[in-house]
Amino acid sequence: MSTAVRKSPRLHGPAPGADSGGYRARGALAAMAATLLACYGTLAAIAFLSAFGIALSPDQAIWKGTIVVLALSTTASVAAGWRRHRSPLPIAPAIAGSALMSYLMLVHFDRALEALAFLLLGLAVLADRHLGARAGCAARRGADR
Amino acid sequence: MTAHPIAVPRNNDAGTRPPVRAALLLLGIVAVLNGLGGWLGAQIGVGHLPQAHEPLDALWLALALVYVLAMALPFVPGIEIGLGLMLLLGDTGILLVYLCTQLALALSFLAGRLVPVAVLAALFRTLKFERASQLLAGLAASPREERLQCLARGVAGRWPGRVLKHRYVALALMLNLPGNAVAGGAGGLGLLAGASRLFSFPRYCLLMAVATSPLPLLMLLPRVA
Repeated sequence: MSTAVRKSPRLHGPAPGADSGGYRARGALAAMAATLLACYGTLAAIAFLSAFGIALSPDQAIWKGTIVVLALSTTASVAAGWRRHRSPLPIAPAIAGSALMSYLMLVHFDRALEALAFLLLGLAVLADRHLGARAGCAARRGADR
Repeated sequence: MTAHPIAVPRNNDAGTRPPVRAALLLLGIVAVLNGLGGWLGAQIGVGHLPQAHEPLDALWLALALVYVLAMALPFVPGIEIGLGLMLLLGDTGILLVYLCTQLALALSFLAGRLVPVAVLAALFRTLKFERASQLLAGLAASPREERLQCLARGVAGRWPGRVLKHRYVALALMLNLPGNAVAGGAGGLGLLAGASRLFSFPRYCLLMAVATSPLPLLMLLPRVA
């Protein structure tokens, strides 16, 4: 086996399949976390501040709009993973989740359906990471042969 | 065929195992957050529950659908219809119209990209747009790399070359030009952009998201202030 000095990922980029999709996959996860934070984090912040007598009433349009935009960003990040794993599996729940979230925020709200929308988005992100890692492993095996 | 000296089980890579544990963890997190969110919302009287100016759900959906279809069609003044809808529907309507605009423009682009250029050329010929038909037929005949030169060859002067070079900026400006319906409207521009194969879809989507944002932002900013 060769004992060549390992190339620095900083200089030469990560080895093929070194992770589940690099910045793009991490971006999808971050967008998903930001969607959760925009939704429940805002509620928690309002509740926390109201405990100290500070009443906040955020603009509903901006609040809902932020959640919708972040959900769509999650879907876009997941969809970008197509180039890596060529599977529609994560894209379908991502589209369904963001469409449901848009409907809930813009047309008619339902808390149980909101949980379902978050679950669909989360499953899409997980499937994207899993398939990205698998594609990476396959590429690594191909390179090793 | 010789066996590998060290047999590696096929599914031994941690990255290739189905993330069942992570999925269960996600389910738990979402359930807890949703339950807590519901309880907190009830305690402090805040939620995402739509409050004022909520027309019938079906009316919203029908309006959105008609708008997306109208916007995606060539020669329809979609931006003007969108402006009217934003004024009619108020705060939440602004965001809805913006999202529907993105969907419609992406649809028109994909229609242009997926429909064969020869079919589009025949359609233009039927509509008596002979020059547009010839242009599309010429584009279809030339290889992808030579399409820019093919377009530049057909027109004289410095400006067409510059416009082709900065085609994304030109498209954004054209989209915001009042009365662009006579040049095909937003739907027609998207259709031609897709048919030309000179625009990448992600960049086009990003461009549209930025190019169509000034109007909704101008309408939202006074409300925020």
